[in-house]
Amino acid sequence: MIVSTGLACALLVGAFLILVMLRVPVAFALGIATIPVVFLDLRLTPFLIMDRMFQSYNSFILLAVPFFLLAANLMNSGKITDKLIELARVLTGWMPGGLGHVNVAVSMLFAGISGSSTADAAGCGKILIPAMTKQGYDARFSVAITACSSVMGVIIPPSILMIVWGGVMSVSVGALFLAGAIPGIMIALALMATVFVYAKVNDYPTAGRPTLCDFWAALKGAWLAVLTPVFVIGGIVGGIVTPTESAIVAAGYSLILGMFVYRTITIRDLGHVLYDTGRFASISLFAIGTASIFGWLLAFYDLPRLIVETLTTLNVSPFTTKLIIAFLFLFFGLFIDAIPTIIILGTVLYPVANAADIHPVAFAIIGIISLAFGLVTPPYGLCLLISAAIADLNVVQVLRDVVIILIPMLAILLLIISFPEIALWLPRMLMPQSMQ
Amino acid sequence: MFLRVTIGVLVGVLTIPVGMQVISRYTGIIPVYLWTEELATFIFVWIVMLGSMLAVWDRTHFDVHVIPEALTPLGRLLQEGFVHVAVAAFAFLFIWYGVGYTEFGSIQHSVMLRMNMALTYITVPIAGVGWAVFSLRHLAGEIAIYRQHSRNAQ
Amino acid sequence: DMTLRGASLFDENHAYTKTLMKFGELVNEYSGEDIEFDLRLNSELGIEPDYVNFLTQGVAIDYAIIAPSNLARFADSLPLMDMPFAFRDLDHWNTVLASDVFAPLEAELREKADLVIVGYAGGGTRNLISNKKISNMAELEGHKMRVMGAPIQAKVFDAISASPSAIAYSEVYNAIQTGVVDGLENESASLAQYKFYEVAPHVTLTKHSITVRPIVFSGKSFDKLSPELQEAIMKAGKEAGAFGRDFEATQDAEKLAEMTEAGNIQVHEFEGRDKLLELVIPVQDAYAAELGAEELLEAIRNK
Ligand code: NA
Ligand code: NA
Repeated sequence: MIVSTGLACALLVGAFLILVMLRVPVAFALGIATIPVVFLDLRLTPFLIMDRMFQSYNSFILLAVPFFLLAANLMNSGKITDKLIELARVLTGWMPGGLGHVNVAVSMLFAGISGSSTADAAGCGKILIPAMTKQGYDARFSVAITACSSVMGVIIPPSILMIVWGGVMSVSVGALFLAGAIPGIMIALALMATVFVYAKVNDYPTAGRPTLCDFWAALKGAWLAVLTPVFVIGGIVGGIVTPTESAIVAAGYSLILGMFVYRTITIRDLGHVLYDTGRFASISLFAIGTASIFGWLLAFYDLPRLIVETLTTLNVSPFTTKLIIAFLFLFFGLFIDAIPTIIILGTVLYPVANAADIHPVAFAIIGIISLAFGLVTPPYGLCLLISAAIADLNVVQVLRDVVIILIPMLAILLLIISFPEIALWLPRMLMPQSMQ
Repeated sequence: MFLRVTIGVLVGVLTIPVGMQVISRYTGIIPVYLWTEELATFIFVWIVMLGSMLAVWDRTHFDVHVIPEALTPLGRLLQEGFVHVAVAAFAFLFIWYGVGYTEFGSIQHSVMLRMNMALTYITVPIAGVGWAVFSLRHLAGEIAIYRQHSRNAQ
Repeated sequence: DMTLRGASLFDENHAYTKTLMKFGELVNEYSGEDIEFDLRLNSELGIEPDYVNFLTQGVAIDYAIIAPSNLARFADSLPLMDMPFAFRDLDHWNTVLASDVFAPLEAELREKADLVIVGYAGGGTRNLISNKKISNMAELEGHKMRVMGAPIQAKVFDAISASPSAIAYSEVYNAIQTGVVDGLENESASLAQYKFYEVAPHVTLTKHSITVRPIVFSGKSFDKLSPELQEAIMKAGKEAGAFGRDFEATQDAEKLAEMTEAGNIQVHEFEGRDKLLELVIPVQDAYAAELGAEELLEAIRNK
């Protein structure tokens, strides 16, 4: 038979939701949900399931995922994270709520080096959450601020999500990187303001006033690591390296720092780091494969056109379209990992954004920031799960603080939806040719 | 264990072709290789597929906990068992159709390395076998736990 | 009532899309049937290598336009169709495509990948695009240029004394800007679309390639059709191809003239283009010998 668009979408989305509710791993649920449609429709065969999945890995740009993870794991293993924390402490620790600010600042530094939020939550959280609770911070607040600040990892360049987005939707990764910088800094400021209010209400201590000497020592320890974004972002924007190559430059640089400069990584550690990277990367990447079949089928059944037509007949304004886009990404982010969501939802909404005359880079930034929230929202928020596990807390216990911290961040998202120029200004200045 | 070592080694090996590509283009010390990208994607496919098997074994594929944990032994068997059966079903699809898919790969060769594509397409049925074996092992484990409970209850 | 589904990378204004639409119209005209042609645009269903897999297996789509390089996975010799300096000029190219010179390649593709070539579109003329004036052999020597990733491309441009390197298409603009390369080779449509002239305003009329783009039908779908319909498809494919070639070749020349008029580019003739041909012939011969396609190459040259 020829399956209609409505039936196909109902079968796909319905089967997926049921399977996920029944705790089938998300990656498998995406794949299994496509089976009924593929067998029912005369024009399709199971060949497609394997082919779409397999061919989605045939992308040089996705190689950036393991390499950026490798860079982040090397930093955590090579104690580069410790140096960054020390630098963050001398820079921001003197304010009320000291370690809270340090937590935000180190996430910013980490974000500028690594493309991964989860590595930030794991690496910095392991050190800062115990340190914060020891100084009398509420453990729930410590977990929440660690998790929420780690989402900057995918907003401040470099970012794995932006590389995948650029690869899937043919947008300049360099332009996306530049577009993420200002929104990322705004989110950091919003987080610090929140920490400040928390500190005033709860009378949290400072982390000590650094002497000039401390400052100098911290800078000397960390400056080599802080140089990484110069290579990575400078290399891409300057057209010297491709995004994938920049990832291996970051990994190579972290390795050199860890093995030869700070001398904290042994050959044995390196084996563990390589294995950990491969394991974690393949879990995310496998989900990309099954998401590709799912997304391809939605396109095959013309779902994007259906959405565009509906929005056109309803005469929805571009602003409302952007709100709908952000909402859909936020909603999907509750349940699914960010990368598969980009593949399923990003490709479905791309024509919608086009029809509403939303700049592809603005569309990407709105999507990526919305997805970043998904990293800390239950039921499936990886950064929150990691941070909560460090403090031995249940996700439900920290939910209230997460919500409080997310409110100012949501305001920033709304601001960028209203004035996309905030994000577009920097790439327009530095990479005008990629913005046409 | 074998899988773990292989994955670690493959990630290490993966850095070589990509690293060579960067070095060759920007230093000119070694000639520009056209096959590095091809080789890198082949290794990449193997890492992903082997990793997906390992994650079935370790149960580290991401899942979502919306409905509450089952409290009775039978409930647990049904809750856990369903997941393993679903993964196994997907695995059998991959084994069954993966053979044909590998044949489809075998009539192709890569443009640069002139390598028979069956060498990477075969990861599809192999992954299927891995998922099937590991998920059925877990299923057997769940059944054993349930039996244990029933026996203790008697 | 029957539906045949096609796929195109581009929007409805692109030459390939127009060719495929024409193909549908002509099939209905010649068969007297009322087949619905569901042509999916804007890479909705994937990119060309994906289409090849679908067509080979007879799933999802029935026809598409595919670049020869994307068929090389199945049949080595296909890229011979539009290798650099294969055609003397537009007339030669048109004569070859209207003849059955490519019949051995078509048979090879049918046998190895179960794909039916029903006609040939194409018609973009590729020239050198560079950040400095190149008008003779001396100026060409050591010219750092980006070429496509197939080995034959690098060999040909190496033979004519340029210094080729393979860079992904998406990085070319930046690579010229930062001086990693001094130029590329491409057709006017791409030059206009990606505004390469902003960094490389000099166009040298080497006319080294004229693109050939087979209109490919899935063998599995084809075999299911009635002989009358098959015949109509073959006839429509040839004509749609001729229509597409004419359309694109005209458009290509117009684009070049437009950009010249607008002052975007400066066009230079290449002094002694015959010398280039002379240098390339041994490379072409070696390539054909490697593929066992010497006779075919001879046949192309003799047309
Ligand atoms: Na980042
Ligand atoms: Na943090």
